[in-house]
Amino acid sequence: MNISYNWLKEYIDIDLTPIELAEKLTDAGLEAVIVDQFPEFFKTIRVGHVISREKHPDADKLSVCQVDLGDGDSHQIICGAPNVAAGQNVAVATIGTTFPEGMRIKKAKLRGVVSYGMICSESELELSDDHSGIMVLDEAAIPGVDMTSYLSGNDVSLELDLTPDRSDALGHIGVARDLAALLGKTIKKPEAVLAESNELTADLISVEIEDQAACPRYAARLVKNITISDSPVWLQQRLQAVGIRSINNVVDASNYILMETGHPLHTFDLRHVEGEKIIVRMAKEKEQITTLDGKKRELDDKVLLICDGQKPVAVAGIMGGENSEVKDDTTDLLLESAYFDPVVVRRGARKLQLATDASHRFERGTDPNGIPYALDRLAGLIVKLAGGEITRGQVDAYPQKINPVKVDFRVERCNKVLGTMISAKEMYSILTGLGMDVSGDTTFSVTVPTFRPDITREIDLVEEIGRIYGYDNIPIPQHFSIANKMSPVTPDIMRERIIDHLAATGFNQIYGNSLVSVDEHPTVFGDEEPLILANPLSRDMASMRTSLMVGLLKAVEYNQNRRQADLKLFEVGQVSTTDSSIDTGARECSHLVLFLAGELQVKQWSQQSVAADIYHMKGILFSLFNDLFKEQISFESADHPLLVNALEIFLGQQRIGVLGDMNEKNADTKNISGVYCEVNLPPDIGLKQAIKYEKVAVFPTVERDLSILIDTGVLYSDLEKSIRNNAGKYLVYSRLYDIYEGKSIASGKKSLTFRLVFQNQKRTLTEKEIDKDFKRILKGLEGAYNATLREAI
Amino acid sequence: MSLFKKVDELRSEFKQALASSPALSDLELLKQYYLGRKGILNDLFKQIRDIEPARKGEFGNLVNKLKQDVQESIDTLMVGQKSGAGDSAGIDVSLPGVLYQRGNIHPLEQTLRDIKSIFHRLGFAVAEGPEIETQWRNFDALNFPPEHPARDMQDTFFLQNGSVLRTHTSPVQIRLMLEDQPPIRSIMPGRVYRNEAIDAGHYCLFHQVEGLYVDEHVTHGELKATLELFCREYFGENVKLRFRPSFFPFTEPSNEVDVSCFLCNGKGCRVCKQTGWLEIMGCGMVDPNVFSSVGYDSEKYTGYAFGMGVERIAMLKYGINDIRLFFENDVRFLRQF
Ligand SMILES: [Zn+2]
Repeated sequence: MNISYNWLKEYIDIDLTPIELAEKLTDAGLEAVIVDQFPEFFKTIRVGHVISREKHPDADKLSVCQVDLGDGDSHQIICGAPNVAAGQNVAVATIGTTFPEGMRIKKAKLRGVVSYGMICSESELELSDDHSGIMVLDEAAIPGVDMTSYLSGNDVSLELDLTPDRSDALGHIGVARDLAALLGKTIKKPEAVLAESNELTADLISVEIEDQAACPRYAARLVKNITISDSPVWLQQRLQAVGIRSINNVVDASNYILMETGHPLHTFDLRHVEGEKIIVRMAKEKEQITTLDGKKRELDDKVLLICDGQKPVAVAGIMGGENSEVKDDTTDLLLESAYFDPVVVRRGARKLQLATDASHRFERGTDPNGIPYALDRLAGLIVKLAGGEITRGQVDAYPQKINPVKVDFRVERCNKVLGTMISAKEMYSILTGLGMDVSGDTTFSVTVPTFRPDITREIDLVEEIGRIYGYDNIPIPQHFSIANKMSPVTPDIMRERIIDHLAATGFNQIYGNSLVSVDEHPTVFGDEEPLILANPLSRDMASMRTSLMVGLLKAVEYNQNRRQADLKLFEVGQVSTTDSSIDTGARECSHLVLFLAGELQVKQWSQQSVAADIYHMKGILFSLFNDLFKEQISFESADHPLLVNALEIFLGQQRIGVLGDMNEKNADTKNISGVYCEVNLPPDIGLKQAIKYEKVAVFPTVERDLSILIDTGVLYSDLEKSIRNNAGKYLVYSRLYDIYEGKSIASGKKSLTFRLVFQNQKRTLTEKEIDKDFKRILKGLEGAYNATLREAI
Repeated sequence: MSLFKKVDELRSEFKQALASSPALSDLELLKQYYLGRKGILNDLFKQIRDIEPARKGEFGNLVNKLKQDVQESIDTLMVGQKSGAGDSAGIDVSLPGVLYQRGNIHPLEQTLRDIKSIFHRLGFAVAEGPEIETQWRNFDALNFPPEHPARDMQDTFFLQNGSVLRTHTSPVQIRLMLEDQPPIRSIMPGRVYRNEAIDAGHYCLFHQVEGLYVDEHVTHGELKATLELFCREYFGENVKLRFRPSFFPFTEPSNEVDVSCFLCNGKGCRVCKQTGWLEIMGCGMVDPNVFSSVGYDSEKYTGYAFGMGVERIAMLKYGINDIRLFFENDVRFLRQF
């Protein structure tokens, strides 16, 4: 909501500049910023008075004008417009003005005559499309005044960003009231004194409320014999300052009182109110009304309607009907000032997908006891602007009075919550300053006016004390407590260790979008049922990710399109699947995705380049789980719908992930090639394993290399297992040292060389012992895999 | 001495010469001595004419073999010498170091860790919860009445099953309080979602860190003290704080916290929109209605809560002006952190 600085000053005496005012309001919780109503370049466009106009000696269409710019000098300006004349006030772009398209006003010679500026048309100032001639300003305009000040009547607009609880501040009087409490002043509320005709309103119209819960109060007045016309300049300027377009004197008056009191009002053309009555009732299913914006709207039984004796004439609290709209020939008016239930208006506005200034206020709660005042103010203003007579009295249907709330308030409790030592006296004056009735000494009984529907409890009053006392004035304690409680080690710490480890290994951490298209659920782990959004932003973000693959592929594609081919990426993030056994309907897990493509290591003068493959991925996982977390993972080859050379990753018996090559011919993985791995991180990963120290053996290790020839089809993992099983107790580890196929080896055969490392914890091993183990290992391989010894070194 | 024996002798002499670990310059001399055009082995070769014809071939092979061995041995040692430290003759130490490519931790993760570490030191534990929540935990329990405009403050993604994508990490507060009794002192980091059009300033999701402290005697003054400590740690010793009244359904009183702009020292700049202040977080005292939803006695206990956006803080810290950069995952962006 925008407010006007000048307008506000009608209700409170302040000597704050607009900037200070904005700060003060912000400090009080009514966040305010000064808004520029007009573009920046208007600051160098000034009001000029044309002292004289002569024809240019060498150009028929040009005039040489002498212009007063308020600085005591006469400025010579050449003008090409036909309508320029001596005695006019005009808008002058002074030297240095830069127009939005970049044109800059400089001293210039036009056909031999110097010009010190430019007289502007409305189109040049982007105020209208009119470029037929220069813009002629008001006679009373003062030369030298800049265009922003001239157009705004020296006013400043402030934009208030109000929190939804502060419905009381949705008008100038409400803002003034808060300011008064802050500054220790009182507000000047304009009086509503009306001259009424002898005709009784109640004889002419009746109000019937069918649903009193939805409409606790409805008041009406009639104004007859008015004349619709344009509003006076002062009113137009007021509305312009708060961002409301001027329509005519009646509509403007109603908007003016809205912005003054914060109370929405409506005016009906009395001609079209049939049956001399107003009925407030819920709409029927599928009942229709055409609203002021010309749209035909279908309603349901949750929408509240204002009807006459025959038909609906307005959607209560939201928008009037087209059928009873005030038109240029309207002479008699019915004025409405009512209180509608916030929830009913909110539901209706949502049903109609319509948010108006009125619905915005009704939804937040208006003041049921401020209705007569707003209605009288409106009637008075209309007569002032449009003439006519006000009939005698309001018709005020208010079956059950809404009384102010009484709240008990303990001074000590307030200080306890805030951590302050504010005196009872000071609290008393803060609360009364906000318009509350207060009695009592250490426990107050506070009567809260109905314009503050947000205050119903003691804690709400504590907030008011804090707000007006100033949070910045609350003292900061020198000491404060912390909870005497251990903080457990949580999975986030283990995730941090994973991230650290991978970053140190050369991976870049990415953050993918959790929202993916319903069609984008690659079967990384199987067919998992995604959670679907009811109100997505777009089709491609209509469900929750079931794996991290989609985001990863997007990141890879993005980078590969930018010629970044060497990628080591990872993400740790939440994924979800449908699970009706959980109250949210969703089971969430933490996943880790890893991706390798291109060269892991670029070629350097002393190093060969290293291309990414699945063996690197296996090694990275091994170092992460086995080395970092001391968890034993293993791999099993498996078929996978999206990956080739796929392996499943097991932690004990539990399958926790998959890895494999992505194929550039697979559209499901966007034809991206690289090595992919995704792991479902067990929530207790790394939390349960405690490291136990083992004594470092002092006796030397002995190394033996074993080269065997075997059929190419034999798997490394089987050989490794055989070696382990036949080795006896001294083998510490075996490492695959070399694989060779090709020249000098029979076709269908390959040579594998293992480095075997033996050690005894208690003494030095003898050659004989090692020979024995070595032979047993070899024999195992010979027996099971038809291996032959190639060469033992 | 037979020429055959001479060959054997030269071989053992050469071995001895190598046994003394010759320096690179010595190796050059040895090479010259044995293999040079006028070297001793060429000389030996020339004496082949003195060999009886039947053994000429045998002698030639023997000398050739020695020549080959000498050549190999010296070459191997020379390469070793060149790549080793010590004698720098022939080594260009200005060659670039071997590149070890380090990876990167995402800027949001780094920012989150900086925030977490400060609150860790202030005695806060870390609690996490699911991103998909019931409406009760996301709204009702947090004192958002049904049909209240406050629900509009947070444009919500609803799921077809009636759950919501959490709009803040506050439902974790509810989970914590339902599981445990005071004192509770935790921060709650996590991903949250807002149904807003995506542009430079908004994304459909972002990350939050909320904090909660519930105990007897927790005051607003203590909240101020805690956040001031945090801001001074994070933004710098001289940063000033401003507590503006605000509104959140789950706190009463509620505040918006501004820090003096650390980019312009409060003088006013583009980032702080000339105000000199940067809005950094929301906070307040836990609303008694929240305590009733979790069964706490709001007369006995008071508490404070606060929350901040990780993206917002990271953008300020790193001078990033488009939130989408965090989620595009351009490695040229990521490698800067
Ligand atoms: Zn700044």
